[in-house]
Amino acid sequence: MKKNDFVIIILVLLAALTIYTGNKIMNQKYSDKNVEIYSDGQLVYQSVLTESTNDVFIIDNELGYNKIVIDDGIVSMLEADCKDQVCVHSKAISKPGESIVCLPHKVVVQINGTAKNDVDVISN
Amino acid sequence: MKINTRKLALIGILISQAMILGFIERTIPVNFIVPGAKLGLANIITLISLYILTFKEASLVLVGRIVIISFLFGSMSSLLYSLSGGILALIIMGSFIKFDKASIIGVSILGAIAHNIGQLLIAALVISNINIFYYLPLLLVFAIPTGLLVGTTSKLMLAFIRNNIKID
Repeated sequence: MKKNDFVIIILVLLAALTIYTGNKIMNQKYSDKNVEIYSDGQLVYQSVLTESTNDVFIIDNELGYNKIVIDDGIVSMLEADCKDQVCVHSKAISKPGESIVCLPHKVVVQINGTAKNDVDVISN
Repeated sequence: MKINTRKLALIGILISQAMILGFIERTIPVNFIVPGAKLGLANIITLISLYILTFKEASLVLVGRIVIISFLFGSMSSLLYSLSGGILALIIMGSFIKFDKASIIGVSILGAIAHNIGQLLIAALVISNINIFYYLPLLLVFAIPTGLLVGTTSKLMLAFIRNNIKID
């Protein structure tokens, strides 16, 4: 291995860390959040997400079947009939900025931060 | 591009080897660890092609493998994802080899990353949602062990090929 190989490895790890923490910090300021579900680019479900949100949403169209469950504010893809099952094995999500994607069925489940968690909101 | 019979046979062998590696990879699922991740075993052949063939010939090996695999076992969308990832990886790896900026192991890691980014770009277009890049940091980290594995294997295989097979 050349010296540059180690430089590449370190840069890649740094880039991963920067993107990860950047995303975390950018989404930290939100106190309220929304869960949104998109099917083929269209918004099909939207709800305020709190620790007491419970819901089940099923997408069953020509692209396939997906069952999304919200259990005490934690969103997960419970079932899907896609071939790769990547979405079903994805980690459950509960924080702004997180998402679950079922690529073969073009389904995106994402959590967006809504209200800002700082003084500006109060003064407004 | 002038291809003699020996070259043509070599390209054919490389494509079939890449297809077999692609098949083996399907039997080892790793996308439970990181969504969408894979080992990238077929990249061993792309890497070796870039070192022993010209860039154009290596492109032929890559596109040949992807088209045949997609027509046999995949779908239109798998063709799209494989091509976008594969071509971006080919260009990045080819450039780093040309300018001799890293060893085969570093080139392999960069190839793995380029492949991920190429696929995420197409995925973002397909689902019209940029949020898919949420997976990028995990994929970047995962590209290091897989890139090391593929790079080391390629290095050993390349040494063997150079000692035993006449290319031109």
